Amino acid sequence: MEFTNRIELTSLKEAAEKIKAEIAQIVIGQQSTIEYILTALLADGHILLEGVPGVAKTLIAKVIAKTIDVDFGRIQFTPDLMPTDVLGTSLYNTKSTEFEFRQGPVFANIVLVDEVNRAPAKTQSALFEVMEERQVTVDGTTYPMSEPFLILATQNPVEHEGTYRLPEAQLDRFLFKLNIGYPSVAEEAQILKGHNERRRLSEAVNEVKSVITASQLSALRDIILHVHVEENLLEYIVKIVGATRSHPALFLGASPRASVALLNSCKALAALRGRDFIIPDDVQELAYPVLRHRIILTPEREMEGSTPDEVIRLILEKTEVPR
Amino acid sequence: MNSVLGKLKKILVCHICGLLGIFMLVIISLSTVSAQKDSLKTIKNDNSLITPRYPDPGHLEKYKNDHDYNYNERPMPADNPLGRWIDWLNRKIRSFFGSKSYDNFWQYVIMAVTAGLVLYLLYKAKVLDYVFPSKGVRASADYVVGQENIHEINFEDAIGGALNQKDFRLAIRLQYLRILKLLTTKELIHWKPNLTNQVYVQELEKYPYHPDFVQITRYFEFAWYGDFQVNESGFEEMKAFSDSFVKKINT
Repeated sequence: MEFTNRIELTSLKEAAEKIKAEIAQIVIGQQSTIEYILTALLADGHILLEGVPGVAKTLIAKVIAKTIDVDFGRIQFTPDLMPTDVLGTSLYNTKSTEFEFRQGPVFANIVLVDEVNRAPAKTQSALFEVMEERQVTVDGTTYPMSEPFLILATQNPVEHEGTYRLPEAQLDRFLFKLNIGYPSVAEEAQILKGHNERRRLSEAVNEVKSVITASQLSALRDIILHVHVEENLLEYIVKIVGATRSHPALFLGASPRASVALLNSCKALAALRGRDFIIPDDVQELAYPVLRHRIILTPEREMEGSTPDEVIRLILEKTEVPR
Repeated sequence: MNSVLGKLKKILVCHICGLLGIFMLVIISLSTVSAQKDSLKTIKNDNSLITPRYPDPGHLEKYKNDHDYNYNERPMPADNPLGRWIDWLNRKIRSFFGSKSYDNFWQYVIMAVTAGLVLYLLYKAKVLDYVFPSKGVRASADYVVGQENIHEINFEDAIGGALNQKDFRLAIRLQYLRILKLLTTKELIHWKPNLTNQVYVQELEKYPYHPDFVQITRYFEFAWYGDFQVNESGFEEMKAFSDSFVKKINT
């Protein structure tokens, strides 16, 4: 009995390999992070990269953006940043005697929001509409964003000096929160070797080639829509997300948006791994990056040093895999 | 040079200010002493006769007999059966706990039971959790999903029923569950409802029949999760493969 995929996944796999190869020239290790970023790219979701300073969060985001031939924007979030600095503002044109809207840096296909949690809630809320609805409304006029639109945000852990906790409504709009850890000893040695032998890092980043276009990415996203999901697995996703809403260790559970996010990202991951259907392993693996920023621990659990990942593990242990 | 002169100037100014302050203090204290001496001269001795006054004994007796001023007397119970019963209970408890000799055995028993009851109520109210918090996440949610027990399924009947209905996809699923049951019985895998097939694949990695199990799992996953069309010959192929796998395990 021969099983062959019902949808063509070769073009997707080739594109993913090309992007990975370009990134590998600059970024050492972090394979799973890069795979998840590609998953989010295909699932049309925004990504939040969290890690201590110096683990290449910004570098990864910059290099990924360079591999796709689209407009790239960057916003450095600072404590005094205003919503108009992000979205844009209406300026008075003395020649035409009319107000004209000047677009902010968010008007790009891939936007790197660096150190996102260093701006206060007022500025964060400016991103709500653009992240969810892919549009900006200023002075009664709505400006749609061009496709693809992806926000790659980086942040330091909230315990660090000068950082704010992001609003729940904004966190819910990120498809994944990826924790970037330190490289292994071998990887760090390879990083040093590269720096010792190579020219400046900025020059190397500039040499990264764009390997896919916006229209190609759009076509790959269409493929994902046709990935098959068995009905029992839909129920499995609902049970996992639903369990976060009644778990005694959680103050706030995940929203239905989280269920949709988990489903879409599972489809993208399955396609990246050469399957045209999802399996429970996809759900279990992606439950962590999809749910960890959408749930809030009770104060007692937080004081005891528990983490959202621990609670997600407990939920997965309690939920039967459909078979 | 300028800085040295500046410093000297500052020191000099400080010293002058200090001396002026001391001088002012001395002047003020001397003037106060002389003023006190002047006022002492004017005070005269008071030799007038003081007559002590005592309350009338009749009045005192009247107040002593007044109930309103008797704070040792217990208030009268309410004039109803409940009030009288509460008063009786109150007196009994007072006399019981008011014993100074501590020779009443039951007094200690009731005290211990009361203390135990208070502790139990505090424990149930989870007040003690704040004093002695538990460590780590031990939350066990009560949302456990209904579990299908592979040890209770009659696979012969179930597979036969699926084949009669020409549901070959279901037959493949049951065949796979049957294999999982066998592997669990032989303690080759650790069956848990929350574990995925790939976990079992990894558990069998050290055995020579691992590639066969990978293939059987592939059959199941494509048929069940992938919803691929399976016909009778497809099921027979999978069954033949799994029968040979079972033989390898049993030998």
